[in-house]
Amino acid sequence: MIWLFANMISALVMISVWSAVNNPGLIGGYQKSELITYYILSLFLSWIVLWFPFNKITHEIQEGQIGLKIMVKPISFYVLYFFQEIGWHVISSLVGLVTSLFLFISFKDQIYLSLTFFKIFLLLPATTMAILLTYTMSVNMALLAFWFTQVGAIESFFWVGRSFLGGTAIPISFLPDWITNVVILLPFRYMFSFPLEIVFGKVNFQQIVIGLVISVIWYVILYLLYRWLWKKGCQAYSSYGH
Amino acid sequence: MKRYLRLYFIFFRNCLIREMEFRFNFLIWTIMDIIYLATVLLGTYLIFGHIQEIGGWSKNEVLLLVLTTSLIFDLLWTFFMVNLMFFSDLVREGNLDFALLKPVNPRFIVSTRYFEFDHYVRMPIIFYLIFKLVGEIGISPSLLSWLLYSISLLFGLLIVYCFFFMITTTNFWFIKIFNFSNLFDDVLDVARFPSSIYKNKLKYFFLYFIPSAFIAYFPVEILLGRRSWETVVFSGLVMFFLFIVSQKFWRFALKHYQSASS
Repeated sequence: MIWLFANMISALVMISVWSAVNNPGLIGGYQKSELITYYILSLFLSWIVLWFPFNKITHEIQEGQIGLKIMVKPISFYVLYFFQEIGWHVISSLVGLVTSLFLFISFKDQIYLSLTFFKIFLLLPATTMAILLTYTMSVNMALLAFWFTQVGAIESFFWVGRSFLGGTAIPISFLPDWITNVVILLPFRYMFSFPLEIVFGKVNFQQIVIGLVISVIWYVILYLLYRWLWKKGCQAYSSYGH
Repeated sequence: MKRYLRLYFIFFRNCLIREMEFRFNFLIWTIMDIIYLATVLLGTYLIFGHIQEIGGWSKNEVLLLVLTTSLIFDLLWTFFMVNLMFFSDLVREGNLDFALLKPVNPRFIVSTRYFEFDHYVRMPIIFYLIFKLVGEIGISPSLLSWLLYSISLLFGLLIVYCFFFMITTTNFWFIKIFNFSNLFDDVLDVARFPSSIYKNKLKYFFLYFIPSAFIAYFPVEILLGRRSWETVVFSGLVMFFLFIVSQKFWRFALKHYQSASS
């Protein structure tokens, strides 16, 4: 219970911030009630899309377990870790559901949400792409542990990018216009912000289609990068401790 | 007392020597720290790009909160947090025995053994920015205000230390209930905004259960001239109280300690 609450803290902070603001009209393209809802849904979404085996993989590479665990098995590394994540994400989605329902009920007077079947239909591919992109990105960063010990620093850059260019800290429409134009081309938006933008109707149908195409392109790029990193990594790898 | 001071100095020197052996590491994390500072400042700028004030606080005033929070963050990591993380490992792996066997106060040894030095570049930057902001806001705090600000910061630091010390002590029973540094980051998230925005039950939870108001809200209000020495006295009392409570809790926990390895 305490643990669940601890995960809600930063969402609660942002909700409190927007509740305390008395601005007439739109703030960064959002209504006040939409912003409050944005952070509740963010909490839910982060439980769903964060397929992030980074620590597990780096640990196994650095401890020299990866050779025994993966290289000798007749299954792709990428697929194996993907399936290992599924179990946890069944639980984490439930946790996300419970916590966000709790927040929905607590702030029911201050939220705004309109969902149509059409939106839900579009949410499915957008969320799937968010999962795939986050997962592949995480695996790619973790594979750098074959060469560098300080992969944590690289990971930090990822979190910073995700916070501001991916919309976890603040909606991307708060960024200056010229950055927003760049953000549309970067992968971070499609790891988090894109499904939320669909929910709040901030993108029209054409923009959604373009967004999905861009995220597929990024997925292909990241996946090819993974193939390359894995191949090179196996060559560079010398099993420590065996 | 003298013996403890000497020990403290030896710990410090030992950690500094160790840190210097991994210079590249040191450099990387120094840079990362500065990037982190830039991102929290950026977040505040982005929010204030679209609004004028939060709960009556202007942009520069909130920035003061953000900077003071970062300062506490640096001080905590320099002096306490690494220790608490190791302390948690000690309990989990059953190595606390070695700390208990030493002929010094065990709380002293688990709280002060390690130092982290990554923050030495960031702290002067923070000091500089705080002075600059105070100038921009157009207040000129007296020497006394600065002194009270520093004292309340020190109390805030010790209050947060006691709070996290107690949380770590729960490790005697629960193996790992918190992702420690995540909780810490969350607590600091709370402190980055004026405590007056938290309403109803949330207020009690954020201000008193998690002692977030002591981190930056009270010190900055003192600096802005909205509060005075009464708040400092109050912080001092809370710190004193928490110190005793955490000490009792620690004693109680030690009685229940069952070493895991031996």
